[in-house]
Amino acid sequence: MPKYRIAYAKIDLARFLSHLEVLRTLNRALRRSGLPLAYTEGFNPHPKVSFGPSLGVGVAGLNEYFDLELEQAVPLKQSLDRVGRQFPQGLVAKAMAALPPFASGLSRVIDCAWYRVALPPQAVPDGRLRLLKDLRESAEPWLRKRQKDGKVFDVKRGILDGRIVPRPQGAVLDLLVKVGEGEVPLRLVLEALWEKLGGAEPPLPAMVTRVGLYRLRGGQLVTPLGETRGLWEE
Amino acid sequence: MEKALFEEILSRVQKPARYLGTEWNSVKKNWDRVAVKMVFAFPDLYEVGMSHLGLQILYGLVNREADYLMERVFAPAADMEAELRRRGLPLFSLESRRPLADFDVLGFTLPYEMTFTNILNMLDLAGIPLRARERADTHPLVIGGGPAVYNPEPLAPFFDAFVIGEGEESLLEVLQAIKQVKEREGRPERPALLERLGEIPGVYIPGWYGVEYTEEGRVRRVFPVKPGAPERVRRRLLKDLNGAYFPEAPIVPLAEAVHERGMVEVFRGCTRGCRFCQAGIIYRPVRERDPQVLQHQAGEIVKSTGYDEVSLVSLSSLDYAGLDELLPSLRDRCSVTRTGISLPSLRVDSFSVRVAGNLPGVHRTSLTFAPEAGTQRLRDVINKGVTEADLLEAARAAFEAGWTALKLYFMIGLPTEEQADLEGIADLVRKVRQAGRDVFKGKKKVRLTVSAASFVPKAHTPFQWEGQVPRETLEARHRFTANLVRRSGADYHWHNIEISFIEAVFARGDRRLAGVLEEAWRRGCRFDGWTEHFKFSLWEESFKAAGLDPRFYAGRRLGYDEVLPWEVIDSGVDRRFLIREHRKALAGETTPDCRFAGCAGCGICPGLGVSPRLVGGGERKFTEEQP
Ligand code: SF4
Repeated sequence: MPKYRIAYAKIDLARFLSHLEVLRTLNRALRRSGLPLAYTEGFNPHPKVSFGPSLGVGVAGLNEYFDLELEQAVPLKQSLDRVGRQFPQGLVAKAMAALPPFASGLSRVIDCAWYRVALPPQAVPDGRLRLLKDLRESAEPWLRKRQKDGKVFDVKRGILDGRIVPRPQGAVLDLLVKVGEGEVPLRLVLEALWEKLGGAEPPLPAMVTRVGLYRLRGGQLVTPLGETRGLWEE
Repeated sequence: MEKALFEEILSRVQKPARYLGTEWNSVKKNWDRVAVKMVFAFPDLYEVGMSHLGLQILYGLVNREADYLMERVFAPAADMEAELRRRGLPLFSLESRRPLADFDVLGFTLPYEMTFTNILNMLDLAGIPLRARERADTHPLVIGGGPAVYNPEPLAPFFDAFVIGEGEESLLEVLQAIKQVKEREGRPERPALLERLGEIPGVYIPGWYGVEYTEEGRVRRVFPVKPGAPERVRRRLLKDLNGAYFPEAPIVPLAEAVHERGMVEVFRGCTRGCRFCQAGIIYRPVRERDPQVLQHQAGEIVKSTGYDEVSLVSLSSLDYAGLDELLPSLRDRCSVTRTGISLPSLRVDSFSVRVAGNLPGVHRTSLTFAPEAGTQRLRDVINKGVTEADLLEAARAAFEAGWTALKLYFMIGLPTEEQADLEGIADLVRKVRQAGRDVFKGKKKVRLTVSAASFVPKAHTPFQWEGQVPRETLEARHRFTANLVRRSGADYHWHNIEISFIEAVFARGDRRLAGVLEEAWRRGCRFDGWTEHFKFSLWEESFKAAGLDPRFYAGRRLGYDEVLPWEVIDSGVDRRFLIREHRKALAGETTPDCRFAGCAGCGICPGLGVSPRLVGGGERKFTEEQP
């Protein structure tokens, strides 16, 4: 049965939905859309849909993905519209592609993510530069303990690259971080960064946007829809 | 509220999805283009309120009118309350994020007594004076509806008006009256507005009544202080559900609700006649919807929501006369979209189990039955038409269909209860276990759970005159039963006794309790129906501060000759019928369901000019079948 991949954004107030809430909401949107969904067998059939890496409450995502299986092939543009019309405010259907048979699932084609963090105004330019230098050049690990199970992560090893972009007010920090293998929980990354910047309060998830999800291949980033991007290229 | 501020707040609370207001099928109208704006306030959390059918019905009903709008607000969780208070921000509606004080009408639904402190909290957060007489013309009209208005007295000083009965019937009349007064007077004066509302049948304006008490603290009389106010206010009701409005595009919750499914209401009312049950009185008579109408509504709901389950709701859906016609066609309709069908509760018999077992969709891992009492004697007292044989057959059918977990509901502290009745519960448990052994022959283990509530006497029921057993006794009885039941190999859970006690106080309370309520709220009581939030010591302090004894309200056996504070509300059911039923209860006599055995003379049909409507039988088929 034909498989498709849909790219969507989780923005505006919808950023405050949890991963599970997004899942349920989009599943219902698909059911409403009238697309010929393929269902799992068994007593409790549900549509064959699989989502990409989860995104926390408060964090926006500009390019998120799910795969779905249909009973028959459908025209792309028209179907994307049909699905998109059923998305509630803040969830936006962006692109749809047909997957070749035996295409790898989302977990196989994603190994890193670009996060954009709005830096607090207190983070003075000096501090920002020191942060980048530390991130790039120092060999010292940034150890953080996860609350729930006490597991210790070296935050730095989860970060592949970073940059700071000045903005009219403050600046944003771009981070390329590992997803899946070697992944450090985002919360720990943010806590470590804030500590370095001397931020008074722990950062709020709503300061964070996931710009994209990629696979790193030979220094190039490949999106789950197969497009190649340079680093920090939107 | 400004968006940046809103986002900042959302970042700091649990489950912010509760407050977004961007749900599918939610309605945000142009504020300046409607004449009357109402906000529907649900005094409990989003996840509870969004599962509430009444909200969905009234929301759809009002919003399809061009002249009106209805938005929603739920009781904010403690963290949201703290954020609002810290910043001095008022409680806001979900859809347009406006302060509640901007609306013309603030309408609370009163689902149960233990939400009352949340109502005061929401009024306070909205910056609206708690007491109706302290409100200015600029404040919204605060009205109440829902099941707990059948004894609104403990809330009387906080409300401008109560709408008694089925809101589909009267709410639009209320909004129209407000529209007319507004058009005539611009900013209408409160008394003029109330004057006009008071003309609408079913509207109770508590400020128009006075109460006198006897020296012992009973109510001597309730009397109109305003000329023209009716002696009693009679509930409104729909004669026929087929033509009534029903939401075919209900709001789909964003934060996970208690029930995530589409609902069709197969009928309203229940005349099985359980003597402790208030719903069995206040929704009389039974009015069934035609299968064709339900089939159509279910189809539309599935299309408009994308839910993967539709539930056939009512007080006892297995009693629906059109089940044989509805289920096959509904099943066909649902198979295309793999939509499941569910029943909210089962009757205690094997037929119910077979029906439930054949429904498509996810099957709950355990089935629940409610025999309510442990012996036939006590089941006859409460008029629960269930026998031991019914229960054992139902259990056997469940085991044969593959269920291994059963939950049994009982009530402790029922009138006339004796030790033998408690022992009877354990006895039933043993027999159900044995049925499990017979069916599974040791291949599977059966899990039984007994869930026990404490009896709460409710206004307008035949047991309204009965007192609640003292707390210490209740606790001793629960412990005794728990011990026996556990030895019979089942788990035993009992509901918080202090919560049931406070519930009993308010269920039969009078106006003086308003003071207690306010004290309790000031001391920090919120979400009292939630065991984890309920603080009994604060309630005890509050009663003391108000100089009232809670036991007087919860535990006292009332006399037939007493004036009952809630009798200013007329449910349509004859007081003499309630007395008759109470006497029959004490004599252990049963009363059959009027749907099948002929009119039991409760008085509602002749009194309100209605009659039971059953599928296939048209009106009053039962009278012809009477022996
Ligand atoms: S008046 Fe008679 S028929 Fe009507 S609900 Fe009451 S008992 Fe049933």
